[in-house]
Amino acid sequence: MFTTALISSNLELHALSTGRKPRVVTVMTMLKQHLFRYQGHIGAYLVVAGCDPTGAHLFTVHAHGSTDKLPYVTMGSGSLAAMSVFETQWTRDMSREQAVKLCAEAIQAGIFNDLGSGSNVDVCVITAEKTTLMRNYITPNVRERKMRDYKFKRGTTAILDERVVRREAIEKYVTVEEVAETGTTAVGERMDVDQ
Amino acid sequence: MAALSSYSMSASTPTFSFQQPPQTSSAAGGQTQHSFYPYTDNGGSTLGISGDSFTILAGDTRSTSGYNINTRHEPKLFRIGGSGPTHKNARIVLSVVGFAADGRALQERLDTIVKLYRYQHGKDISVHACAQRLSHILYGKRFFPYYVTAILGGIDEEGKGALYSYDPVNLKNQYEPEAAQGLGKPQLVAKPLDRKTTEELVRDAFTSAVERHIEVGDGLQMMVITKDGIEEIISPLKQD
Amino acid sequence: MIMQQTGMLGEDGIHIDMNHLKSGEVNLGTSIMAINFKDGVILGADSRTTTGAYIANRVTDKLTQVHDTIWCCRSGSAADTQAVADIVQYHLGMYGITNDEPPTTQTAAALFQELCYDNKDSLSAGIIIAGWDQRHGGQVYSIPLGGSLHRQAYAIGGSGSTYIYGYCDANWQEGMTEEEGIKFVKGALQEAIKWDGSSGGVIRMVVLTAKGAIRHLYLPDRNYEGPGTGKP
Repeated sequence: MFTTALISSNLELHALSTGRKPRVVTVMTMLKQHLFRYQGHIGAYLVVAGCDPTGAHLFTVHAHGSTDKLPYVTMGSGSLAAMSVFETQWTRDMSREQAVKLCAEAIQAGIFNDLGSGSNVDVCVITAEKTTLMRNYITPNVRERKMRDYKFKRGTTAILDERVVRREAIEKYVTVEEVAETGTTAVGERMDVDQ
Repeated sequence: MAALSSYSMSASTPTFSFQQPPQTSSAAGGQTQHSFYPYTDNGGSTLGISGDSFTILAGDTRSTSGYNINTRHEPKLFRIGGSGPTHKNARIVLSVVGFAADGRALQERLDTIVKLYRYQHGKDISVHACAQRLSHILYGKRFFPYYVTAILGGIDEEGKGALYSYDPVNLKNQYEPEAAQGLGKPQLVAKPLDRKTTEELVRDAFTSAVERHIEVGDGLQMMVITKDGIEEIISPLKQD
Repeated sequence: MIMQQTGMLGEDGIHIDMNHLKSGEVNLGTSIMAINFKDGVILGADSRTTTGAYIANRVTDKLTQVHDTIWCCRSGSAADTQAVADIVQYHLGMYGITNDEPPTTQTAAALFQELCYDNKDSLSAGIIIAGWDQRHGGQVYSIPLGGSLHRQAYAIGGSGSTYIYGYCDANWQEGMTEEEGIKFVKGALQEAIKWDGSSGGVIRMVVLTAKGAIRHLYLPDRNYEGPGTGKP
């Protein structure tokens, strides 16, 4: 997480100083040099993908700093299951729809056959024009409803003693700090919590 | 020798899950220590709840090794002492989690013993006696244990639910349906659950476990033991 | 996993086990070679990259360009060899521009050696350098694990090379033609791939002559048969 944020920040500065659009190889090179310096102690295994003026590129970066450039890649504990889907179904020059479907299938292979993977499928499509993140593109593991209700009835906890503390009495322990309004833009990641 | 011999032999070859690579210890002056670990953890969960006229045992049906699923349907619950391939007239259920191979071996041994008891004594073994035998079987292998945590359930001689749990070498507990511990309000008296509530509770427990434990999933196997026999219910669980 | 101890004192000095330097990293458990022939040099390599028993990349390019007609074959840790090759490529690029003259293969090899020798404690890299330059024509250098430098008529390396010492010794001839050279490299690598579990995939080659660099690719699904160049 910190590594990607750091590289993202450096990439922005790089783009500003060169006055050019950043390239995927640049990100890949920055990542591999950073990770190589730390000799694998930064345990980041990444897939780097993107479109730049030179075309669309796909890389994998391992924690020790080695990189691979391939037409299809998988990473993580579910990568073997996902790769088996790619190795049997991938074809050159697939359409966007075909590619999204294949990626979703590959991730689902990981979800169901690898214990380290699970829950939902997120898909991100990067074109020269724009990036579309489809979070929860497929949700094959919706939590089922409980058969019984486990809410405690009101009054379950016995009241042994009752004391009323007035607001004035605790005010001296409280400091109020106004937090400046932050826009909803530039939110990198957000979790949707159910309910 | 090391410098010029080769550039790079592949560092790790495929190994069995119960195998560990030879270890070179510095204290022993560069002596290589080999070891053999004959156990595997096949994961999963089981539970048992006894009522005043029934006992429910339940377990998921997933068998794992590491991050892999061996199979999505490997029962952890076994009928003990019944006759024929359908285990007719069995009244005792054993559940095992841990090392599945030891679990099966234990089940077969206990099943044989319970059957022999009937041939020799002309009557079915009581759950209490069976529980005691199981304890002896486990402790008999005190220094090379069956790597399992077992639960034994049935109906006792008074027709009440009986439940026993074990660690790999011994009997741990005999559960009384009415027994409850803790500080409570006087109006909260511990009373045995009815069958429907218990079944729902068991399923809810497993659907919760599935959400946060990777080794639990695929199927839920439940066995309800009453005076009339054993009812087996298998229902699906999430497969991720 | 318990980290393997890397150095130990035996009766005859310190033994260093380079294979366990960094556990769990990407390895080029490789078959690589480079040969001299009549008009220049030929580099050859398999294409397998592994992490343990898993093939992380089955079409890896282990033949890396560090200047126009100076290339290297990489074996050992993928991360280490990529880093070293990147540094050498940078230096040779600077050399070419500042001197307005391409570097010689010897210069490149010396750069590789310096990096490999100075950092021998932290690198697991076995590199073969081959190049063609105006002054010396084709040359082949080999840098094994400790960082020593050897000029050779031909060099083989990687885990798969152990299986082809006999083949190479029996079939090697001075001053082969390009066609004979390709046949020699391909034949040797086919044997290495056949016998070594951590070598495999396609056979890649680069032919370096006065005319420049030409890539060859031989696929296992065509029994490693040509044409090798152009559209397969």
